[in-house]
Amino acid sequence: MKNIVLVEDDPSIAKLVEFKLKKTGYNVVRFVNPVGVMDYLLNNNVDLILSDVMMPVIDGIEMIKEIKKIEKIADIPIVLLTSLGHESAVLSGIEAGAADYIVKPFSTVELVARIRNILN
Amino acid sequence: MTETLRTVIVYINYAILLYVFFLMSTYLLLSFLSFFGIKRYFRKTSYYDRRNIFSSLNHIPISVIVPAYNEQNGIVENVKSLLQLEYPEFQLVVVNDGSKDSTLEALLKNFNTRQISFKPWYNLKSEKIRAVYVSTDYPNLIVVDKENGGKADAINAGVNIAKHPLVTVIDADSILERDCLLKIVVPFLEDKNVVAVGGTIRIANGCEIEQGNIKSVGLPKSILAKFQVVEYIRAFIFGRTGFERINSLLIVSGAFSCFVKETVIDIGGFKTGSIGEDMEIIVRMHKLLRKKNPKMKITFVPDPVCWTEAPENFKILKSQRTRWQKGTLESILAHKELLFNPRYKLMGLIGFPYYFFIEMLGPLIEILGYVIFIISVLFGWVSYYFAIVFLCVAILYGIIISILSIILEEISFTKYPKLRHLIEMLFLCVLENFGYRQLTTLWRFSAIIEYAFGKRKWEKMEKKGFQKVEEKNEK
Amino acid sequence: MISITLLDFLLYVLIFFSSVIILMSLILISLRTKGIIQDKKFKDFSETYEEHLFEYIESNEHPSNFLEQIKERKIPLFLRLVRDYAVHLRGRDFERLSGLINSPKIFNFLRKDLRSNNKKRVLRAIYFFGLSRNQASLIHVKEALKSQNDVIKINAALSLAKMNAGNEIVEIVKSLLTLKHATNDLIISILVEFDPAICSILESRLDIAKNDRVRAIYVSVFTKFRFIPAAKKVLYYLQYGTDPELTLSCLKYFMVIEYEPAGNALKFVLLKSSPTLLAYALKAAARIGTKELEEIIYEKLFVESWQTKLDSAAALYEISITGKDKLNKLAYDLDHPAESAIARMVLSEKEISGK
Repeated sequence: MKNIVLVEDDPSIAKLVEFKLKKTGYNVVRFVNPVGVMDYLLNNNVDLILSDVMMPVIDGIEMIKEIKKIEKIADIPIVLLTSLGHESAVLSGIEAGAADYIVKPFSTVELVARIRNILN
Repeated sequence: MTETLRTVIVYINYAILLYVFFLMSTYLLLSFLSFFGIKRYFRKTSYYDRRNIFSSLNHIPISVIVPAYNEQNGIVENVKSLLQLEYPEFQLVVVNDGSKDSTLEALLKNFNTRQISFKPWYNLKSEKIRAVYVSTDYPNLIVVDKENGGKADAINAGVNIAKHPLVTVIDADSILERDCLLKIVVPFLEDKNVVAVGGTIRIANGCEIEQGNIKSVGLPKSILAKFQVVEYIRAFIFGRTGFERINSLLIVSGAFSCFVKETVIDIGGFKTGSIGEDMEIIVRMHKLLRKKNPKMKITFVPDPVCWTEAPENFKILKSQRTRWQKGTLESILAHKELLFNPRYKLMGLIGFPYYFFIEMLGPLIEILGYVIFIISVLFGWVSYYFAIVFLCVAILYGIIISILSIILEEISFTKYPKLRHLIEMLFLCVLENFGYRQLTTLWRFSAIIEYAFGKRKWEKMEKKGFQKVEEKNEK
Repeated sequence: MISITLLDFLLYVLIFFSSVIILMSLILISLRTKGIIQDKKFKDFSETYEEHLFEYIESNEHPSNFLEQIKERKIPLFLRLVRDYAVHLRGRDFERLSGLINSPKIFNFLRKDLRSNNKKRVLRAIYFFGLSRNQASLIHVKEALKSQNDVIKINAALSLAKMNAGNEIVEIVKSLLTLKHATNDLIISILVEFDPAICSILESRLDIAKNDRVRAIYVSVFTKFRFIPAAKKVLYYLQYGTDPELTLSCLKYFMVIEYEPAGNALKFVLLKSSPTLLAYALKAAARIGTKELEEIIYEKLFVESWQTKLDSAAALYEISITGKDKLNKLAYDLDHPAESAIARMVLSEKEISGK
């Protein structure tokens, strides 16, 4: 079973996405912000990271950069969740090494399809 | 002889009673105005999504100016969090005002900067600019290195370099909410006559802060800071909202304010060497611009967007309050022709006189009042009993005003989430009248005396992260 | 001694003030407690129904089935829950949620709210009708357009836009123009909530629009949706419009839409405009990029205003390779210190950001 790390500060979206991904058959671990994510990635087997871009404390882009620096976890694909109008953040994210992005408002069907695609 | 003295003292007593009555009625008026002002702001924003500004092309680009002096401990973190502000198009201009520490080095190292050729486009008075750098990682970050000249001077240099039509001025150690620019730009979008907008400042002490962002809001541990929390709520919810309704806002906070760049340049920029440059420029704007455009407006946004660190020890608090009082004196006296001047409509007839008599001269009258009262009681001209009752009435009224502002805060922004915060604040409203308020009045009083005797140097505070130590500035 | 009656008066005031303080403290605490209780109610409600909601979204279950378990007095909580999710979703997920709002039970509840005297309820109803994009509620929301209250008017317009009520566009714009504080930005931000197809309707109304201000608004909508068919008409208004707001709007349009025939008109704008208009005209000219425009842009470098010098230099950099070369040459031109400084500044900035 594949493991997905979800980093999202909005509790509603987080819960819905977690539900949907679990229904699809993935294991989901939720974080409210990037603090603690690094540790978890280093000590557990993670197959994909799904992260919001605009978050308090450290933003998603910084987190990606930190992850890509460490060889052990640099290959984990990262998918970004971003709001309309934050296209520049998306570009920065892709430049930093994110694999894909989804724009909010989004469709969970599409989200699952993209994730499935990446994981195969 | 004692008879005449007695009559004089009695009349002065009456005068003081009258002053107090006038003061109380003004506060009452302000509270009504504030109530409607806040309600109006809320109805506007209740179901309206501010992110629409992102989608509409009509955002106005903003240049954010950050004057910095000896900020080596927090500057990199703060600039990083400023870069994360939510706004479609903005530029960050950090002005190093000839820091003696490694502020500049920290900036240049952490943001991968390269020097660029520059040409200050306007000629606002400022000390020599030594170099201008742009960050390669963040192309909208500009660092200006200049000779020391004080805060107003640094802001002017920033305006000289800024390229967007709006300039926002903030303190280097202010903590801003992510959507503050989205909020502060709204008055400019709604009314083309708006030239300056102030933000609402709250106390950061006691809040959980991580990497330059407020994680959760709480009350400070220090009693001095606790009093200031209530003070700020009262000052912003009453003072600002009330005056804004009659277009008599005479001060926007230096910690977070936004101006139309053209306007700042037209009136010659900030006054270098002034003690309270944030108030001075606003009063001057009222004076000069009203003539050209009678519809000119200066307003503020009641939403708390900026969190600042309040002094927690007596010495620094005293120095801060002294500075504020002297700044008020300087700004008001420099433009005293506005007093009761009908050409300035409500501002001249109500707003300015309020600042003149209550903000500026208030401490003088209050201390005088205490002294006269004590004399009157000692000489038996006023019954001891009367004096006590009167004092109680004045204190209770102060408590009412404070609680009223807490109620207004509760029905609007509710920033303090726990019930015990609220109860604590209620106690603070009562407690502050038994020492804290008198102390600040005393300090303001001595500031007036000092000012009258020519002691007008500005004493600068050096910051060590979240510790403050006083230090004298060269200018 | 000061008169005794004053003392009595003060004593009464003392008692009055003390009671006021106690009253206010009680009000404050009850306000907060009310808020806490409401939040708790919502939290409990969410915890009970969230999973069901997720299951419902996944499935093909009929909305009424799901709604059976929701009591009438809990509908406000239910709406709040739905709102939390609906704002983030689209596609099938969104359709499922709007199906709930459009079901008879909720629809009737909202209808009742819309007719109530409570402004908050009216706003809530308008909001959800707009959210669910339910055509059946169109006529009711349209009624709300006529309200005296500005906030209700704005939200009604917003909801109609979300419903894509293109037929009502005239009513909507008319109503928005009567707002006490109607700015163009506000109206534009509402109009862009329509589907892009609204542009064709607006284009057909461009000539018969009430005044230039309305035209400026329509052109801004074209710009937002990158509506190319309007180019010819926008060009006409750029050339013959007299209102500076309209000219500005048209310039912003051509900054985004490359339309060569606009080159000529731009020439005239560049030659005789205020610095504010020039800023946009220069950007638009850089987009079109004819030789003739390049010459004019170069000349603009030598005018008085710093802002215009800078905008011209930036435009010159963008317009073509020859433009960049001219800028490079100017950077070392000792006869023109101000212009060469500007050229150096623009070059150093642009090279760094890699644009």
